[in-house]
Amino acid sequence: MNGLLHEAAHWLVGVAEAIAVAVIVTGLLQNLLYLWQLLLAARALAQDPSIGAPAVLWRRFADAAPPITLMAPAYNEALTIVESIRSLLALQYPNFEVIVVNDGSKDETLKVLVEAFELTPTHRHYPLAAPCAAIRGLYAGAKQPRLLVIDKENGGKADALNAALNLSRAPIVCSMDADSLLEPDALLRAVRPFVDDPERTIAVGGTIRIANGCKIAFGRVVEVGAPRNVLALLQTVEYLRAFLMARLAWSRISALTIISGAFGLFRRQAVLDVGGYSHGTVGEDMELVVKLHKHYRRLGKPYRIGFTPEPVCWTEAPESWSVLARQRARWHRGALETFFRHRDMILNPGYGRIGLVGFGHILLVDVLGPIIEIFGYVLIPAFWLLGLLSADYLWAMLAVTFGFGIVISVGALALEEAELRRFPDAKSLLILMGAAVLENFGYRQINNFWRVRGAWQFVTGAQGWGTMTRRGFKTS
Amino acid sequence: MSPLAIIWITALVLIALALGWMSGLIVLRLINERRAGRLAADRRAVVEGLSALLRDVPDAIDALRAYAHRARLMADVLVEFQGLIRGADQERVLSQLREIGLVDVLVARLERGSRAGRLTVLEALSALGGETARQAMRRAIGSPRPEIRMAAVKALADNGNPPSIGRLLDYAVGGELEPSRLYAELLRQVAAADPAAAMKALERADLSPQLRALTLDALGFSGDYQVVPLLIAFAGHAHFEVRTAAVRALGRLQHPAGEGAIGRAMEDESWTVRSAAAEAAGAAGFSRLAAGLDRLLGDAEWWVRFRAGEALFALGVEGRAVLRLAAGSERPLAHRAAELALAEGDAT
Repeated sequence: MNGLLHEAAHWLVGVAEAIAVAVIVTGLLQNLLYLWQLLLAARALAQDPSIGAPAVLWRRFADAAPPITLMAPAYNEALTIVESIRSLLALQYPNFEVIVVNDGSKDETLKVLVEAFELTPTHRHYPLAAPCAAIRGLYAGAKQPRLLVIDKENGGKADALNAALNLSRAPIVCSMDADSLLEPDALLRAVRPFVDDPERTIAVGGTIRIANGCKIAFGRVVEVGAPRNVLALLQTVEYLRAFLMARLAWSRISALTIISGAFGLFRRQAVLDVGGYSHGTVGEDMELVVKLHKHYRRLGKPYRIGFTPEPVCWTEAPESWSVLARQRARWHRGALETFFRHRDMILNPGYGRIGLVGFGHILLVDVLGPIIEIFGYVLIPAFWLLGLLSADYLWAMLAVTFGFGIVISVGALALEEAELRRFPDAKSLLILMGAAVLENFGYRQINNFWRVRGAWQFVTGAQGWGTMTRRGFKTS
Repeated sequence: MSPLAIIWITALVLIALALGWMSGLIVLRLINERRAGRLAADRRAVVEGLSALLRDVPDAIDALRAYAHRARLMADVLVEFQGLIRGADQERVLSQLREIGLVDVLVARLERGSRAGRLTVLEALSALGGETARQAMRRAIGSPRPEIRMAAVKALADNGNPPSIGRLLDYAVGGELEPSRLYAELLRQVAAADPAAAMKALERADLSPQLRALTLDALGFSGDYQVVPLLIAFAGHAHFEVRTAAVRALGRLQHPAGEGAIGRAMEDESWTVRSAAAEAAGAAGFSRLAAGLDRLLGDAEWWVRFRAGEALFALGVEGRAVLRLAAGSERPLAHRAAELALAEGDAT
């Protein structure tokens, strides 16, 4: 009996050690990956620094800038749509049009648009190149020749973007959220890769920033500030890390797998070549980018998916735990949907860096990472309480993990500070540094829990977006 | 050293690194804020000095002399300021800046420092002009950085001394300049300024179809009818991009001699050429091609149908009559294309 117990205890210690090693190795690999991203991003920013003044951008690029269609899907946005569209129409770009898609709104989105911009029914010849729900009508007005409104049956964001894609006649389209705020020179900044390398560039992503805490007037961020809400503050650091570090780094080595749905430029024909935006996924933005990679890799055609580190778009971050939890679970579900839909690309050398680095990164950080980390949070303290693991090692490893986490977040802030410096004063910087430390103690762990919930929703086939309750931008 | 000690030391080093980095960032920010304040004050002083030059204030140039050694500051302000003035005023300011030796300061800055600074310095040198500046801009074409090379070529062009079209094509063939949209714009300017040289350059065998197409496209903006026979010849080229560019250029020039080539292009196997031909027929107002456009209304490719409809509408009464006939016809694609072309044309 004693021998059996001894054997069981020995086996349990072995299991505990194996789990501890798996957690440590995964964590270390993740941190090394982040460190690599940090170095790649720093190099990218040093080699291609920001062009500060909009006037300089205009002087250098306006003559060669290709026409762009801004595609703004709107669903039940009657309260804010007019101001958002006015702000879009005032963008500084030589040749663009705005296509607003009223995606079967149940409120008065269409009515307020028609009244505010004095629109009347119009006609436009268009191909049904990308699948979309029935278009009920088109509206345009003489006073705003750059604006076209599509009224269609509800079909979701991907469907609405497909409708705009069909109606667009510009070679470049810009997908965005109708409630996002664009920088006045956003298009001019983001279009640069299309100007510099028109043959190969098929898509360009832009940096999204959190608008909470900023001063907003007439649909524009007029003064950048750190959010007062802790949750929004933590997300500000998170966004810096995601955009300024991760996406910039991956774009540098041609392994970028996502361009945020809040802002992205695409060559229209390339999007149509892959069948437009995909229906039936909550991650249509990532799905599109992966489809583009796949298409061009299979054809063996040289292509480039770029990324602009300068902030081009501002979005409202959730300030409530429940809304944020739903958003993060949904994002994770979207990532997993795309990952498994294109599982033939995972670590497949036939897809080059996108298969090895891009999909390898998703596998480690998005698929395995959250699950292993949650296992670690639950099992390692349990094993320690049972006396199966050494407390000394446990604390030491935790200290390394937190140390790495803080270095990475501070590194992302350093990139911002070195090249962009958009936060107005040292006080904002100090607050953000506090957040960079704080996020490692609780927020990161909760975030992992939400991601595991997203994975569960994916496994169980849960559908839908959940409710995103927006407070609306406070205007000054 | 025990593994445990190594792990603890790693953790402590990481935390110390993070704390040190954070402190460094805050200190740098405070220093930068002061520096930015001083820089803003210096910029204001230079702008005031330049304004004083315009107003012929005595000793205005002496005030500017104090800043003349600061290449980046002077280049930044000069590029912005000279965009606001024209003619004799502009020349007066520039000549006085040349006199205080700004060109030499900028030329020296072109050899060192940040890339952003060099780009601005090139723009400033372009504005200042003169042989020393031009030589420096030409030297910058040999820079290892592609954006500096492009900016140098553009600076020379803005200064009124663009490279010849042959040299410009050499740069692209040799890989010194990428065929970017900026390059295409420059090629357009140079070809339009010297169509004969552009025609000669098209005889070269080392041009890729893309470069040939860019040159033909540029010729379409020249307004010189001597290029028409050449464009007609290239409208039958083996590569579809070259044919497309030639047909588009013919449409832009609107010369009657191009009608036959555009009509033939309507039958091309490539849809981009057919689409360009439809567009060209409408732009040039070749109403004799209305029957061909009517046929293209039933093309399998949407862009060809759309351009044909647009062109027929642009042809006026005659074209619209063809559209109305097609709209009432039994040809489903042509019927729909014509109907929408009429509706859209009336709406805009």
